[in-house]
Amino acid sequence: MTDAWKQPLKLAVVGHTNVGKTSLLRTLTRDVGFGEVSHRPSTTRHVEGARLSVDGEPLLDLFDTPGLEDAIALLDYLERLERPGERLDGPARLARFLEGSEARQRFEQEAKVLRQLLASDAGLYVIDAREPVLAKNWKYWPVAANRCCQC
Amino acid sequence: MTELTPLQNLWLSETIRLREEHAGPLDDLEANRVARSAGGDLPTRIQCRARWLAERDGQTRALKHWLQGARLALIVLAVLAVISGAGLAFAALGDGQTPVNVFWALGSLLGLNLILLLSWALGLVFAGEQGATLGRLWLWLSEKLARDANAAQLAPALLLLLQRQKLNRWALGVLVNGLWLLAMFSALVMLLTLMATRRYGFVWETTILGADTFVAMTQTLGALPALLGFSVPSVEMIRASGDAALNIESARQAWAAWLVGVLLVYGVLPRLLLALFCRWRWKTGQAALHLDLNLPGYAQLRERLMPTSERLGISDAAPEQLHRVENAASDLQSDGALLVAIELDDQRPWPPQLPKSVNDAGILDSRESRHKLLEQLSRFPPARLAIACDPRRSPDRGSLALIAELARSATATRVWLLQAPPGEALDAERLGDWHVALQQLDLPFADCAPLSWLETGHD
Repeated sequence: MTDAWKQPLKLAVVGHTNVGKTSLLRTLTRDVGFGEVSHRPSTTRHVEGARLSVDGEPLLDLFDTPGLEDAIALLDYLERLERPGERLDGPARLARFLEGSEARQRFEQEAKVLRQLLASDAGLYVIDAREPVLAKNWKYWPVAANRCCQC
Repeated sequence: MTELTPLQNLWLSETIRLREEHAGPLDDLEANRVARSAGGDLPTRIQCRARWLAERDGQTRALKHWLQGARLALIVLAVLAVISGAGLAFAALGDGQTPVNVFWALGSLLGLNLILLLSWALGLVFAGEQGATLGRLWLWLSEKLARDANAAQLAPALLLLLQRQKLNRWALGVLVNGLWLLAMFSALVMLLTLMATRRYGFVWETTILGADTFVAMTQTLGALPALLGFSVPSVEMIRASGDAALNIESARQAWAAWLVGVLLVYGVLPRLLLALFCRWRWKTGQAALHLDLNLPGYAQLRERLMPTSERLGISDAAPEQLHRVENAASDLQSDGALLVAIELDDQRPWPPQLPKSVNDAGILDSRESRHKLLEQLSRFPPARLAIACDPRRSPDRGSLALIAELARSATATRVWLLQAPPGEALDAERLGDWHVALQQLDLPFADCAPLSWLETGHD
């Protein structure tokens, strides 16, 4: 199981808060005890993984992440990270953000999501189709994530 | 622990399955974990689990004892076969004092063998019922004899396993034919030894049959051995032997060769061929043996040994406390009243009818509109600010931070939680979440328009 192609695909399940990321994982894993589900926002505050296997062979590692709640402010912050006269590309900007102190304070939850996205092969962006399409839900997070890891 | 053969592995798995069927599920957490980490397909994992459980509960030891016993029994049976084969030859030839009646000798050498061979072959053809009876007898016996509860399921498990591929008849065939082969071979060897060391005269006797019958019979029986090079006594010799044992060497040798040839062809060879055939069927059948995964006992193990999903645990732990948004009223020189809405969808007519003294700051839903308003507020802070929110949305940290930031730039702030549009209802739980969040921010909130407060500064 050391060959790279035999490693399961890593997929970070991301999205706005309260869209049902943990519920989706519960459904996919058929594990009703996975994580915690409630009506409150910010119910999941950690990153938790689950592995899906077919015939005993692990195929997919899914990671449940906290909700993306402060996208607009984070994007502002990321843009302010550039020093005058400097041009940072996405990964470098993200690396600087994750090293900084705000990644442990105001944007602690967002940093968790971005770290997991960086460690994953792909992200699965979950949208609650019952909610109206607000700018913060679809515009800023994919933009922020895109800039960061080009995924 | 010595390596188990594939058959023994299957046998143990079947034993464990029967045991769990009779006595309820075993405590298999560790066994399942070991089997899961060993990997492989489902039968491999089931066998790995069964091996672990059997090792823990003593079935492996019981199986080895059973095998030891079986080996011992086989040795005893083989010794018995050799002795009775030699006894047959002795009984057939006698001590050499009296001439040997060839057909009596032949009968005592081959008679029992042929009768039992026939009955075995008939049993094989009409096996169905007989096998089951034998199986039930074995089950009953093993239940009576098993002193150790752990070993009780061993014999039934083997029987069930073999019966599924109809293998027990071939296993039994190898045993029976092999033992008879041994007996016949021992008889042949004893026959040759006796003939080599004693002088036998051969006669045939009859009261009612004619000499021609014996000539025909002798020649018919000798035809097949003759193909292998065994001589057949000539017609004159046979006729002469009807009166008294011929005392000439060629006649003795011809009769002896005939007797040995007949014993070889009709006694040893059929058993040899049958033993080889049964062994071939046993070997091929054994290779085809497998676990019947449709059995409920095994089907239940699928999810435990080959889970479609497993938890990987928490890789990034939750913080002790989420970042808290703080609110503080502005002490800037402020003037005027302002109404702003956050993230309203376009189903709602906005803004409502406003008094002249109240300004409308529109709807904040993008980065640009936020920046613009916050810039404006820092330059011209309002005395009274009303923030309209749709409580059908989640009170996420981003929205709360924005509300707090807006409130910091006004002297007094109120939050207006809008009613649901006509035909819809608010989710009580989500409304409760809003109340809790706004209380933490120390912001007053209401579900009716604070227009008179905006206009006049008091309710």
